[in-house]
Order: sequence, then C-alpha cells, then structure tokens
Amino acid sequence: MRNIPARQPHTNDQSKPPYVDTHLAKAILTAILCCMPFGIVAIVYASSVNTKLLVGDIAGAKEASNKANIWSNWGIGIGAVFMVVYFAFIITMALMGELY
Amino acid sequence: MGAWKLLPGTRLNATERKRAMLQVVTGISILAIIAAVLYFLPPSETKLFPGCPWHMLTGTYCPGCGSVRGVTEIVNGNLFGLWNQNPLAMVLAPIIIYAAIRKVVEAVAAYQMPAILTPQWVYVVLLIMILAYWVLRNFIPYLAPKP
Repeated sequence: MRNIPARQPHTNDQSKPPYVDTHLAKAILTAILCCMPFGIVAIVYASSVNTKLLVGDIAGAKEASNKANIWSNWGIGIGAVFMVVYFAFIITMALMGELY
Repeated sequence: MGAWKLLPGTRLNATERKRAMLQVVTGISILAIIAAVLYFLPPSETKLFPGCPWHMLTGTYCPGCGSVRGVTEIVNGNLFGLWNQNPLAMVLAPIIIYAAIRKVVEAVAAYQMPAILTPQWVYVVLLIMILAYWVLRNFIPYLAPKP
C-alpha cells in the first residue's frame, strides 16, 4: 500500500472563520425595552466578537459572544421577574379593592 | 476602522435547524402573547404595567421610555406610533427584524444566510447614539414619549 498523506483539516482555515453570533438584536432589545445597563454591557461584549474573529481568536470571539448573550439574558430575566412581581402586586391590590 | 466583511452562508444540520425552529416558535408565541395583552389590556387604561423604574425614580426619560406605548400603537394599527413614542426604537428596529428574518430562514430553509461581520466602530456609534439619546430626549420634546 502506498503512503497516503494525511489530509489537511479544513476546520482551522484562517480565511474562513466560523460564524459566531454577536447577539446584537437581543442586546438592543434588552437596552430599549427593558434594562439599559445590561443591554449596554451586552453591546460592549458584542462589539468585540467580530474584531476577535477577524484576527483568528475564535475562542475569544465565542467567549465574548457568550458573555453578550448572558448579559442580555440576565437583563431580560430581571425585567421579567420585575414584571411578574408587579403583576402579582397589582392583582393582589385589585382583589383587595384598593386599586379600582 | 475595520472594514465590513461577509461570511458565506452555510447549510445547517438537522440539530441546528431544530434549534432554530424552536427559537422561531418560542419567539412567535411570545410576540403573540405580548400583542394580545397590549391589544386587550392597553397600558393607558389598565394600570397593569409598572412603567419605567428609571422614570419613577428620577423623573427623567431613559432610552427605553415610550417603547411599550409605541408597540401598543403598532398593535392598534398605527405603524408609526413607535416613532412618535420612541424614535430610537424605530431606528434600531431593522436590526431586530433582520435577526428575526435570519432565524426564520434558518428554520424554514435550513440555511444560514451570509453573515455580515460588523466592524467595531459601528457598535461604538450605536453606544454613543443610545447615550446621547438618553440625554437629548430630556431636552427635545420631539424625542420624548407622549403621555
């Protein structure tokens, strides 16, 4: 049998970095609809994703992407909890006849 | 200043597509619930919504103030209601709509559209816009939400 040279893996091809989501839409939703500070931190992290991706720092890009996602999620989560607590409060008040 | 770059589109495998489908279904359900609540229980009449904590504490408008009133107007058929209440939200809406379209294409066609790699200065401009808007809408009545 002839020696077959190992094929070059294409996954580490620098010219075609993988797609890493910046989660920008989520960050904007967080900033505009819900919780400013969280959204702003998320946008800051989102901003570094593509920069890192283009210099080949794929691990760094994925980390920044994750952090942007997590900050948005915390913002939305806290906003949602705030809403639920407020609803519960309003409904309780309404049932007690305080509000209407 | 970085340049805009484009990543070629890719086909998604079954797992990735299923994930996108789940996200699309979740997103549509949440949108439907929000639209129904805002339509049948308008915040101007029900006192059901907490309003902006920032506005309550400081008496000034934050960049998000007016978003719910604006979306309520959209739900009631006034497409430019969001512009009246919160112009920045209307300006940034295309970014969110674009992300939603990408997700729908991923779910329906199992295809990830070519990704635009936005250079960092765009994000810096975005942050400056939001912060400047935060200040300006407290001085320019046109940018402020209407009661």
